[in-house]
Amino acid sequence: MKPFLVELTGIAKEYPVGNKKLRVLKNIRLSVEAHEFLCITGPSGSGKSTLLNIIGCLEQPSKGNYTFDGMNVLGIDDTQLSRLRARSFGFVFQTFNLVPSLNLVENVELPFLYSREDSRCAREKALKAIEEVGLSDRRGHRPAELSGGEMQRTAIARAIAVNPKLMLADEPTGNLDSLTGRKILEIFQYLNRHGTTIIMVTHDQQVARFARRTLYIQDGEIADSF
Amino acid sequence: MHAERFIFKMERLPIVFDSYRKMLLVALRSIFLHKLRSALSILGVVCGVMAVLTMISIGEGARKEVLEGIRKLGTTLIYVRSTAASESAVYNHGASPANGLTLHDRDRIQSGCCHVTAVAAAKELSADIFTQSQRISTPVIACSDEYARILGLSTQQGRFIKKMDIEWDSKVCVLGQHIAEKMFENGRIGSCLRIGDDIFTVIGRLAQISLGSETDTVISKRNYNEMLFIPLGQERLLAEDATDNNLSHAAGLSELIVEVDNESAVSASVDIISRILEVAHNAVIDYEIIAPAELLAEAQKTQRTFNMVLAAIASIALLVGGIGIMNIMLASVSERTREIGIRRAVGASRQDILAQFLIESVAMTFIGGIVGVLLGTGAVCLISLMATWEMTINAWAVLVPLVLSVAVGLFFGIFPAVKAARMEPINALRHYT
Ligand SMILES: Nc1ncnc2c1ncn2[C@@H]1O[C@H](COP(=O)(O)OP(=O)(O)OP(=O)(O)O)[C@@H](O)[C@H]1O
Ligand SMILES: [Mg+2]
Repeated sequence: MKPFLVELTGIAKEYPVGNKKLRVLKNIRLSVEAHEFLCITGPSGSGKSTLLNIIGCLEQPSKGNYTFDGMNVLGIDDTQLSRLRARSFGFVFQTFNLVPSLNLVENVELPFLYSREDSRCAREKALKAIEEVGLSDRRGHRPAELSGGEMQRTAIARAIAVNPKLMLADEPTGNLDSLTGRKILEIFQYLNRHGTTIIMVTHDQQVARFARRTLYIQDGEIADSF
Repeated sequence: MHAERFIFKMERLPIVFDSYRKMLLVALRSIFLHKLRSALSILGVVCGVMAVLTMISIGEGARKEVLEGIRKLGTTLIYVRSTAASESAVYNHGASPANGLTLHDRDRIQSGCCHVTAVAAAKELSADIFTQSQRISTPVIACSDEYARILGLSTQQGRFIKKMDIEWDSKVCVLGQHIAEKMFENGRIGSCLRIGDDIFTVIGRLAQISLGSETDTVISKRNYNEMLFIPLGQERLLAEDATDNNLSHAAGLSELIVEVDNESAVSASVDIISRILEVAHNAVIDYEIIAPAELLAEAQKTQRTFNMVLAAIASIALLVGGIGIMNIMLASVSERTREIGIRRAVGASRQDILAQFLIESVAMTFIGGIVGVLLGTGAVCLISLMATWEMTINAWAVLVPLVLSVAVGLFFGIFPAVKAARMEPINALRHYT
């Protein structure tokens, strides 16, 4: 049997709201093979981002088991978890999430600071990633001096620079026009073809078509898979 | 296996170091981005550091100059000096005013106070000294044989005045180093000088006495290098025809130097001596009693009080400064919550976040420390100009405040930094400002 890269079983997530509990995810069971391009869709508020955050180790589930690359990541300490985020995950957020005081290159280099990569090596990899997303001429710009699409591409460059095992994208095209969105999806496809596993959240059917597999989430449960 | 891992870690050391360097750059950038804000918040630290530096410098300077100066006078000595009795004192006490200090006073002190080990008597005059080719005007001290030993004067050549010189009325003299140099050949042991109308034989030459730079007010060590010493009793020959002679003092001694057996006996002995002299002089106070040990204690007390005030100022300033730093760091943490979330998401551990904010607060207080040291140095120069205190800024005076400023940054930065590190990545990312 081929080992899965991501293996979730019985994942549940509850948020305390007032004195009640809001059950956002209920008993999610999900396995993702290496080199997959998985798309998660569903209505707003169905728990897609929450699930993605749990997969990316930004959030802990209330219940369940999570194995990443053969390692039980729910049992490890903060330092190891951070190292995992720095080396194995590439995150692309819906809201870009660039550090405003750092310029484009420095933002892309950021993960290397925490994976303790050698400075020169980090710069090299960052520049290569920036070139891949076509932003070489915007290198010195601050996030405030970039357009929305450029910021998103910067975020993608930051994610791909570390050559992650798993790329997590939360509505990467949500804020963009269809042409820019398309360009970004092409980058994703290109990365996937070269071996990166991608999990992408979107509620755009057009976008979902780029993926090889699509999960449909409703009310915190996987309602459909195709 | 172990060795391998060790080498691996050693190799990574510069990289870890490099990541802290980058955090420092981020911190400096953030500090200089908000120049005014940072400047205002390090103000307290600057003041505190200035106060600490001044405190240490004054401590050093005062100890070195004033205290050493007093100590040089001898802490087991008590100086009894004759002064002019005030008119009223003479009137009030009727017919028999005392004749200043006398040898009887010396004997009374010697026998009346059990702690006293020796008493030297001296009379100061000034006289013209003639060699074969020169005429030199110089202070002359007629002294008893104990004088040199009590004051710690040593001879470079020959000997000092001895008891027999006094008993036999020998016309001998001992030269201070400088005056001997001034006389060239004539200052040699065995050569003869004319002092007043009498011929004195040179029997000794004092070793060079180093004088502190102190310009202390109460008593300062005399410049014995410029003086000439003759046996007590011989001054009578000079008194008759010395040109500028203070007649009111002609009769008495100018000084008694009392040596007691230990420093702790000084204060009791001062009391006894003053009682003895009060009785002997019919309560006419034509003398003053000065004890360097007491002056020393006094000076130390003053300095300690001053230091305590400065220490209080310094600690209050550092405390307030530290709170200012904490405040600004807390503001910075909440302002940059999203940034913290982003850094956590791309792999920063709690320690990394902690380190980053600690580095920032320490960088801030360290800059405050440097500014404080610069301003403090200026302040010290100003104070030493105005107060004529010799103050020295040594390595401690610079290092201690700098270390303190770093400590303040660490201490007051730790809470905001921990707060930043405690944030859950996802909550930090979801934060809206
Ligand atoms: N920290 C929180 N505390 C309480 N409720 C939360 C919290 N975070 C998320 N939720 C709730 O969880 C539910 C799922 O949120 P999530 O962000 O996963 O939705 P989503 O599927 O990504 O929606 P969208 O497509 O609009 O982005 C929402 O109803 C939201 O109100
Ligand atoms: Mg969402």
